[in-house]
Amino acid sequence: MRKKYMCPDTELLSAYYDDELDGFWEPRVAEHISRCAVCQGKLDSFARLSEDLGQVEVPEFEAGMLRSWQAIQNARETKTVKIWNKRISVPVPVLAAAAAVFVAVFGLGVFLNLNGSPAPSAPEVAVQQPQIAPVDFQVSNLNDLLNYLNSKDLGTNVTIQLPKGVDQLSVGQPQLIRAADFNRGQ
Amino acid sequence: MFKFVSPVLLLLLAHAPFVSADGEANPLDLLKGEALAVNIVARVMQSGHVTVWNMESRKITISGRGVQIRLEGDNVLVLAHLIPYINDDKSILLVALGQVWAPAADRKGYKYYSTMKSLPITPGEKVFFFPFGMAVDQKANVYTVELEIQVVPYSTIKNNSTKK
Repeated sequence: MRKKYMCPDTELLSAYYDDELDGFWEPRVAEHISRCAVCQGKLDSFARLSEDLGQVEVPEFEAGMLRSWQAIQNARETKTVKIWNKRISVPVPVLAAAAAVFVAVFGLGVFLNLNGSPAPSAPEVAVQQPQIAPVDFQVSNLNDLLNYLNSKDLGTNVTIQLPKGVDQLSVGQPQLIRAADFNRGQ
Repeated sequence: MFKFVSPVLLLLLAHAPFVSADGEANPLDLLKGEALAVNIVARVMQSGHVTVWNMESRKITISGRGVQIRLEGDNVLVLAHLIPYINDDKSILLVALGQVWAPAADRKGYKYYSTMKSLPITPGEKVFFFPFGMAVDQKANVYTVELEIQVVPYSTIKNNSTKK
């Protein structure tokens, strides 16, 4: 009876196909394949698979790797800013851009103010309002001054007693008129 | 700290001409050019142009400090509060608050008026305040009470009196 050899398993055949077998196994597997049509078929399928894989377009690993690297860099450079006990993450480029915009706007405002240009939103009425001048005294003791002003001679209370018999008054709304706008007798 | 305070104290001491030789300061001198004199002339006019009675008064005040005028008659009462404010351009804003109690026209009761008016004026400009309104019919037996108000810088009065 002829000795029947068992077929090597698929992993061993794959290793043979890839020339990864050592000196002990490689001649034995090769001898078996030379006499076994099944294992030859498997080797042929390996070859077809390799050929098919070789025709598949290799994905652009470099671009993907660059995107991954950028994402990692962004994650590393992200700063955590505390605002009212809340943590928000702002990328450094965004922070830099915001700072640049702020500096530009602030600089423009300072430039306009230095050149005397009125702010476009400033109401003109506010500018035209007369300002009440502050009272500026060189007084060492303000109480003395106030007491003096409130004294009998300089008090600001005036009492005027109208003469007797003046009771036939024209009664109407009180009026306050400039002398220039008032013509007596008319 | 003391290096800063000492020069300040020296500067303050240098501004002590308001203290006279006997050591008492004259408060009016302290007012310098900030004081205002409010000249008040109260008149009772008959027929709109005949002065039957008048009384003059003058009060010294400063910007923002009001002068109270109490006008009393047999059956009328006027409380006027005049507050002059000096503007930066040296013009004056005169604010007048008035309360008037007077008998009604039909003599069946009293009327109460309250008013608040403000006028921008120049120093020395005269203003008339008619607490009971102005006579319209010019009847001989109807009187008009008026307050002539004039606000002038106190320094001008002082200078005029000194020249005399």
